Amino acid sequence: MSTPFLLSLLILLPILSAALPFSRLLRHAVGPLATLVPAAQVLILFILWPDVREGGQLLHAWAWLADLGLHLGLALDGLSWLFACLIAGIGVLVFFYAASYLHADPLLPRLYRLLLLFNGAMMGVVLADNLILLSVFWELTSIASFLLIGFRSQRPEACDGATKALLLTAGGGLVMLFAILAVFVQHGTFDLSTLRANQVSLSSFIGVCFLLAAFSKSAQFPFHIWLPSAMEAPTPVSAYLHAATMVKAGLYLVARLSPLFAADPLWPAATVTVGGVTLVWGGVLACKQTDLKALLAYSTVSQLGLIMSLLGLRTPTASVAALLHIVNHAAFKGALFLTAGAVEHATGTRDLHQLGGLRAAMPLTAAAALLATLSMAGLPPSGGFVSKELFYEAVLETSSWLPSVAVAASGFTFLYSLLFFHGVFFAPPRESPHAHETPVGMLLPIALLSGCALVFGLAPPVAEALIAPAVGLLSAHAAAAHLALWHGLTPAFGLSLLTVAIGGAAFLWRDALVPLLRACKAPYSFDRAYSDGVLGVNAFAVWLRTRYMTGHLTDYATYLMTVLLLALGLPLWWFYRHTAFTPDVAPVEQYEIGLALLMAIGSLGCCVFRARVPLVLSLGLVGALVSIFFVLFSAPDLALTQILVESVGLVLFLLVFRFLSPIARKPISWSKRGVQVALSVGSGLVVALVLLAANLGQIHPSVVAPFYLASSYLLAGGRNVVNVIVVDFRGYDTMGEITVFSVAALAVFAMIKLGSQGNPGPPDLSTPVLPSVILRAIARLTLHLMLLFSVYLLLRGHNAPGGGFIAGMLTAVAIILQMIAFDLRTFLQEIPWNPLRIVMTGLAIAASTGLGALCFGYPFLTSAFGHLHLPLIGEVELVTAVLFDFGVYLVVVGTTLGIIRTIAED
Amino acid sequence: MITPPPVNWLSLLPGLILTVTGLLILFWDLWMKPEERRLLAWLGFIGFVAAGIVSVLLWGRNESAFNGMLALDAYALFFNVIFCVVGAMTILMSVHYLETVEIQPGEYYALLLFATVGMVVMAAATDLIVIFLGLETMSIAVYVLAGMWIRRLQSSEAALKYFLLGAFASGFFLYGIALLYGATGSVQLDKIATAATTGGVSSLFLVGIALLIVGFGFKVAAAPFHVWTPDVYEGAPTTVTAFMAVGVKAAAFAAFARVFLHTFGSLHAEWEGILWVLAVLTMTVGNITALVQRNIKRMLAYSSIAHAGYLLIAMVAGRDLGGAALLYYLVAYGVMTLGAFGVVLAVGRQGEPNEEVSDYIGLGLRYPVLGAAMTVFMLSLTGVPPLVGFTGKFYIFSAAVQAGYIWLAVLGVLNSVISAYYYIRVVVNMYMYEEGGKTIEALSARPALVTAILLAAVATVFMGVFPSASISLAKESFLPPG
Amino acid sequence: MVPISYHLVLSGVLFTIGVMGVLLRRNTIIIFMAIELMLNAVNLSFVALARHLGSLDGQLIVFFVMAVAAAEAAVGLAIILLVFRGRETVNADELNLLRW
Repeated sequence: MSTPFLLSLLILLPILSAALPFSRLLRHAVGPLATLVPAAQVLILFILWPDVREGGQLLHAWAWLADLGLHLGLALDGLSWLFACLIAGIGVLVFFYAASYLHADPLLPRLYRLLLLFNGAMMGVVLADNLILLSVFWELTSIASFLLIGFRSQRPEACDGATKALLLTAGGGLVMLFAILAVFVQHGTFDLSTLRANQVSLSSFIGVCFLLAAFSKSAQFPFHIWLPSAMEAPTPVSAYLHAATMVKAGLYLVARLSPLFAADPLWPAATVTVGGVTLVWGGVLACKQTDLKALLAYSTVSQLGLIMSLLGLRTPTASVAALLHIVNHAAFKGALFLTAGAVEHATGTRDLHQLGGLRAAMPLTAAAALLATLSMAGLPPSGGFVSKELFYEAVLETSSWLPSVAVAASGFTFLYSLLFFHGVFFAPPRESPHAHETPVGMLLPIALLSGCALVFGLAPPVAEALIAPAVGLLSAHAAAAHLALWHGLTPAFGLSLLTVAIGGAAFLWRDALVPLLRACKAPYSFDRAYSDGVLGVNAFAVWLRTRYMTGHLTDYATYLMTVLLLALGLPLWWFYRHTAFTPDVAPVEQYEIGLALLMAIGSLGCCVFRARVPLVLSLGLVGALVSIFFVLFSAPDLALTQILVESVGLVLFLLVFRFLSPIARKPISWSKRGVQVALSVGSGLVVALVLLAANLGQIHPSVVAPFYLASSYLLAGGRNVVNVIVVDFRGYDTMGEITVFSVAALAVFAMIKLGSQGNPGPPDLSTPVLPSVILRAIARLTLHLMLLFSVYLLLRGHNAPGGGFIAGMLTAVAIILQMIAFDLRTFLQEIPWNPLRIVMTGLAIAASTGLGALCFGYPFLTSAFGHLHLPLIGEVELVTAVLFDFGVYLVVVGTTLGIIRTIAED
Repeated sequence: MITPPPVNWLSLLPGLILTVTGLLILFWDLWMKPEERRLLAWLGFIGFVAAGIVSVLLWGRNESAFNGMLALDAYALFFNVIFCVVGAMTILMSVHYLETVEIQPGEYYALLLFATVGMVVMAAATDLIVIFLGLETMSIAVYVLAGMWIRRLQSSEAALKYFLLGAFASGFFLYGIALLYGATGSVQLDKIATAATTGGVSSLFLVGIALLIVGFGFKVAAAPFHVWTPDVYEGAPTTVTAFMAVGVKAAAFAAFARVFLHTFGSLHAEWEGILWVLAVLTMTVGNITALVQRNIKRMLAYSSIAHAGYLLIAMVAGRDLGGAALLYYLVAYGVMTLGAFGVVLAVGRQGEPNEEVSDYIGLGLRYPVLGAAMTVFMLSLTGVPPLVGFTGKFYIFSAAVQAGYIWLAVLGVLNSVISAYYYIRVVVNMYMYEEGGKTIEALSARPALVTAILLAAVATVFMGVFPSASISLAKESFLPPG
Repeated sequence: MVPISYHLVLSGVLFTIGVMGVLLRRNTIIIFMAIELMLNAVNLSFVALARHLGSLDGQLIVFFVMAVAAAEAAVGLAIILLVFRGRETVNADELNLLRW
């Protein structure tokens, strides 16, 4: 098998297996089957070992979004290999353990699914060569961790812990993504291998971003708060994710990127400092805990801080110590977590106050735990002792405050190690009637991990073989360092003795010391800060939702106006501060001032009047005045259309008002009203400002108009320029226009149908609106006159003001008049046709006229020539345009009829 | 003698096909028996497919029609295909749904087709007034579609809110056109572009641009003009919501991008600031408010607002890359959103819409196919690789970074992470809890809906894993900035 | 000839009064009437500009705007009636089944 394939298999195998139908077919074999996956990974890593042993690197990239620099690049070198071994190796043991730990739980398949998903994601993190890929897998591990911590989803603590972990670690990942983007901007690549090959040196700013990600993932101070909360996860998960692998991703990142920050002074300083603080703080907090897992969690925090500070030192000894401790920590902390799980399994509690004397009931477990505890405390002959010696050696090489911190922290480590082991297995026995020896399925992994912890101490070459390929990548001279259990009487050994003395003394005085520690409570913790922050955001979202999305139309319109005013007003104000303001002060005709004033009054009326008739009348006034302005601007067509449209609209408004019950007045808060008035006035000011100073100097006169003027009669035989243009040259626009109109017609009919569907009661049509007989007679007469006039308008439209739209509107006015004059039933009887069919016919005529012109070889909607002389009306051009106008006419009439019918049916 | 402007029939063809199909449906509906009404859906479907195919066949043309009012270019055709696919998918999802919510199929399908005609016009229009006409055609049809669920009071309320706010925004849009007309003497895009490059910009011009932003911002649901969106999306029939979320938004962006990236391309510095703020606001408001939603339609509404924000990032980035990213992301967004709404439809039953997020508990365990599809859509909307949502977002953020808007990209990424919370909550609900879920109607009874969901799911995965073909298509379709 | 600015200002004032109507009134029919007022204002400025620019485009545009406004009016009234049938009210403040 090719190596690229094997590399991708390391990631794909667990992710694909996660999709297997565990819960149905493979329910009973899920544990062993899932364990096969990490086992296969171990095998693959073994096969690939020769390739990386001598400092080599396997690299393969599959193209994906190639033009954006995104390759699916995977790389395996010594460092990746070491971490991959941890993921796969611990994975085998934890997977095996989980089968016994949760053997009767119906959720077991889901646990394995998530563990497999995590395993694949974590492999992705350590194998990714492309930084984007790295960040994606990084976030995926956070998500998997989220789901695993929240595994007991019915427990609110589990959900809170899961969310906390996700927010902090995924947030850190986000900062990392930002750093990655910055790297791309500066160096044009996402590939780690390219960055390394070019020996780039990244800026401190990018470094800080990467470190924030690493610190949050590896639970460094002050982001450590998520790790204790994450202990809600089932114990195998804690052992795997939150002790052995995921929390080490931050360490991996720091180790991986260190060479790129070789010249950066901030990187090591920040790493050592934060690591050192975490080391001590974690140790102190661990001693205060009574919950077994919480103790182990803070211990993990502390140990991670230790490794972090070692990575920051960057000396050969420190590098070796860091890598060795990564391996050691994985072994002993994994074993201790699994022990805690076994203890809980046996006794039903993890509280140190309720545990004790279990060495009798669980001798084998106790023996295994002893080995792991020795390693954690840093006592010979365990691996922990070797790495602690190296740690002291490394800090002694620096002549700073570190050695004293190291000794103090190790004293705490020693103390909590003893508290853990003594508290569980030796302290005075408590009532635990069901306590029993751990079943084999759980004991075996514990024993194997503890065994590793011992072997790494007794036979350092074993550990050396694991870390050797990685050491060379961290520091050039580290190959010389050889591991040994006994280094002789070195200063480091002296510090070890000191540690044991301090820690032992503290343990003897524990009854005084530990309560003292517990009594010290910070007034405000980072944990509180986190929860206050989360609650604040949530409260804000709820507030936003309820205050802002009120469901009130008026509020929505108010937002729109506010933003618009701000967006327009601020720039304008800024603009005019620097620009001389010279309004155009030419004289205005007096009648125009009058018209304008009337218009303003009329429109103000629309905003003020409450009674319906003055309201509608003032709207009508504005419409009429607008049409007068149209006349002043020599647009008679427009004026006519405006008047007709206005009248139809007004009558419709009146009718609708008639059928709707009046609206009860409700007091509106004055603050709201004030805002709205202010907005209105403000918008007036802004508009005036814009327009008064509008620079109309630079105008590009239309080139279209002269062309139309010159060619309209020649081509289409019409003198009413606007209408000719509308119908002929811009017939397609008109087509668009009547499309809008017919869609509206259709919409109205849909509404009619809906209405009759929802409210099947027969409409009450018996009351005539106008009882007077004379009025009715007049109305009847006007109907015919108006219809006649509309035909005239329709036919004349091509040369003089008129046209289909106007004629249709006039007809509509006539019909509405009838409706007002007669009772509605008569009216409906007078118009026997289905309005929808009228509209459809009109549409069909208009469309086929266009097509007809095309058939005669003319472009769409151009007139076919032909003049017909009719008496009285004058020259009628028998052009297809007339037919087209007729179509428009029908559409308009049909739509109006439809609306009237709707209203009538109410 | 002056020759009349030549008429380019081909450029009208997709729109004409849709119009004629719509009319046919209306005529047929008048005379057909009630039990044959289902056939109307297939007629509409054929119309959409035919128009889509014609658009594909017209590919490669680059012509201007009707005195420069409509364009037959790759850009317009690209959008035509999007609209036709959206329309066809909507019909597939509607076939069964209309019966459960008792909506008249005749008007419904005809309005769907006419709304699409409006969209086609918007994407092809190279004249502000034609854009306005297209916009209104589309909007009027959609206003009514939103109110067609007569059994539900919320539906007519949604229609009224949408209508009034839409008409209000149209007023601003039109006023913007008037001001631009005053400033440049034309409403044709190329003439406006010439005026902008040669004559400089007056304050009138700038205010006109700002008002256009209001009009477009309303239709694409950009904050703070988005307020109607959640109410309308929740109240409207679900199929119409899907159509609005994808089709209307795409059409609005089609015109928005043509006007701003192409016509106002030389004025990029003048409007990028406003759009920058809008983009950030839109993403943030959309995502933050989505966090506390319990109704899935409303949640998807806020999600669609947030996605408008990502699309605005592409607008701000501008240039070739931003434009191509915009087109690509519209496709991506369309596919996954349609799919998500498809699942929402599938979960509903007659008289029991099952629209709460808590209704999805255990869904994935009991209905594996539906659950898997929904997982794909939710993860893709979050932006998880290798799905199309990821490639799309990556494309947009890269465009922003390459154009120098690093902070915008960062805020975009931050928002994607926030969004993960509410998308993944649906997935968690589907798989993490066993009990408390609801039983839904058998999917086998609704083959058309299932087809639509599966098509969307396959496209979401396929375009994410093999993005190069669709990306190069998007690049080809985007117009170079003017 | 009156300078163009004044007509534009007039249309601006009209537009603003329309906006005011939308913001201040509660009856959806009146809100809608105010929107129609806004469109009238825009029409006025189109025509004034057309005159000023010596281009006919402005007048043509007004035709379309009128048609669109008429169409909107038709649909708007139909929708308002529909809402009234279901809810017995057209008060904007009472129409908030949909919110948050």
